[in-house]
Amino acid sequence: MSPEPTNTHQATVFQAKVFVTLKPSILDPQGRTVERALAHLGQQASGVRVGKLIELQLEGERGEVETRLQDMAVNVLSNPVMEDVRWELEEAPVQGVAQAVAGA
Amino acid sequence: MNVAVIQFPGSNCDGDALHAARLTLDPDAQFVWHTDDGLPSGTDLVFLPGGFSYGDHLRSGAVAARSPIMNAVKAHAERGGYVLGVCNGFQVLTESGLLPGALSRNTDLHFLCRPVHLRVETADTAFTGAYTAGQIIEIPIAHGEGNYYADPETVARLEGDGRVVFRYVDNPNGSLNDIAGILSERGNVLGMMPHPERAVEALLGNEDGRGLFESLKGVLVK
Repeated sequence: MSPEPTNTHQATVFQAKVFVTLKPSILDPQGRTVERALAHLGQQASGVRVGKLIELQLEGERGEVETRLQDMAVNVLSNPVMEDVRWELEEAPVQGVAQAVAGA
Repeated sequence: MNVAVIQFPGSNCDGDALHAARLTLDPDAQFVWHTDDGLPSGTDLVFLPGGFSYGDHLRSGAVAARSPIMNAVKAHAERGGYVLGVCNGFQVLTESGLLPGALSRNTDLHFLCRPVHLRVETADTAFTGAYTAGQIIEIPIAHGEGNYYADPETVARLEGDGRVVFRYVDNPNGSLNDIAGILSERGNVLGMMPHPERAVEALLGNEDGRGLFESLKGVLVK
């Protein structure tokens, strides 16, 4: 019995970033507080909103990973009642990570 | 009557919930751990207590709403079984989809811990039959994220169907329409931010919450 080729569908590691923000219609008391604090420091800024960035690594084929990421982002990582969610997906720089660890 | 009090890691009103349930409804009320995948057979009322389940990580109630026991709680609710969610329990109910809307940060960002006055909007529910419509009761609140929000259509539907059960007399947290507690469409699931289980004994200085449990007793013990 000859061994099956194992690397034809080699899984890729992806780095995902999920951005969760309050819907524009939702009052963001945290953002308002930050905005006031900035004003006290003489830094004028408007429309300050505080959101969340969730980073995760996913392994698989791109199409399948995108489906899983969408499911997680919409059904778990954000609450559609009051939050908007968007995400970015990139191939993880595995080499870079290994070098960083080696150099640490 | 059989009462099950669900315990999540970080629940901290579970003891109060069990005590109130044993005092008023079921001397044998018991705890059920969040990793269990079933409720004790014959469970009539599921009590989701207050606290900070899973450290409020991600969103308050979000992780608890996806824990194994919640599948059994949903099935119980679908069968018409009663569910009471208080404070974090209310947050778990909205996160799990058993009640509409969501609870966000109090508008002043403060954790509020004090007695508040509530108006019982309807006595025509399984949870409020022992009160009278319009009655003002004093119940403690203790939350940082009790600001009820839902889209305008949902709020209109809740109001139109008489499913806003408790309303703040003096809104402490920014909740839309002063909403303090709401009922599911079928009337068997109640979520509320104030803590009726902390107000069931004269010894503790307040018995105004007892009516809620007496109401359920009237419905469940036939």
